[in-house]
Amino acid sequence: MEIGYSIGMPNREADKKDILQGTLDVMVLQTLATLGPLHGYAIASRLEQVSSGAMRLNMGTLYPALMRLEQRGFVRGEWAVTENNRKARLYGISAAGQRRLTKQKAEWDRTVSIMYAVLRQQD
Amino acid sequence: METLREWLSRLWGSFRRTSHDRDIEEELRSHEQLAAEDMRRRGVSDEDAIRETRLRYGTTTKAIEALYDQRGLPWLDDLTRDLRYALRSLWRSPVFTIVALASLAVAIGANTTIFSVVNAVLLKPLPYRSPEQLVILSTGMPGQNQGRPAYRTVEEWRSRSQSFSDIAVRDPASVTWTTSTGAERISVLKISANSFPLLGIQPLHGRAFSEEEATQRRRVVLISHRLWR
Repeated sequence: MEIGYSIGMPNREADKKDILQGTLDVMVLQTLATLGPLHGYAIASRLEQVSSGAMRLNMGTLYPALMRLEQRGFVRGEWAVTENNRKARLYGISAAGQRRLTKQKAEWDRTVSIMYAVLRQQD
Repeated sequence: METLREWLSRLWGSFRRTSHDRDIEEELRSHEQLAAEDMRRRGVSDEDAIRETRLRYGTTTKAIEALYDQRGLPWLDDLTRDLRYALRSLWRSPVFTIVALASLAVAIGANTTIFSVVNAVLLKPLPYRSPEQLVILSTGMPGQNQGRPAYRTVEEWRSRSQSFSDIAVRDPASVTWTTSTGAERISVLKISANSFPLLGIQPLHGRAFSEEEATQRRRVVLISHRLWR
């Protein structure tokens, strides 16, 4: 994860775009791990709901992220038909995606606890 | 590892295109519709729903652009587009193109010629053993024609010098060569006996000068390949 790497390797410059992409990737993977295969709109709604409206994802952000996850092998996309007889593309997490999610979660935990400790320090 | 996988997918994606495009569009439209439905369910009016959706989730056009960027290699696409445009422009102004190509051809030709000469004369190492260690010694005043030192001088140098492993002498001359068919003038090179061993080369056929020939100061001749023919 980009933030984690910056702490470990102070010379690496994390692009702002990279940080956002990395964060979004993890959130999508977690959503799919929790709820199983979903189509794009369902992922967006779920993230919006879970974050109490803070994460409102643009289609131009979400779908490239999903494509990237697919290109990297963390997610698998398949065409399916929904209950309303609509053709939808369902995204499901892969085994590699699960491993990646576990790893990223651990790094996030580490980052958060470090930041919390540092930012909340008292004299 | 995943980065490589992504890169390969994007390389593949920059070639195959159109069948995928429709799917992408359909997926995005369906997202828009679902969003609009949700809004209507929440009580937003029909026209407002579409507008709200666009505001919240962006337009499909923008999303499609972003997806194309992710699917292929944008720099590669840009490069091919620029190249095609350049070729089209050149095709449209033939006189300019011909003049430009002709100039390039002349320049490249001249450059290649000069380089081959320089390469053969200066850059390629001499075909002798340790060519970088070969030097020419001559005597003379600066500015005047350099002359070959006298043989005795060279002998002195040879026996006394610490810096040189060996010194050989060469003296160009021309002699008359008489055969049954007539006489002609040929150019020869008088060399000391140690020349061939010094340079580390052997004649094609036969042998170079031997020790006794050197000490006995016999007049022995080595002929060039061309003369031999």
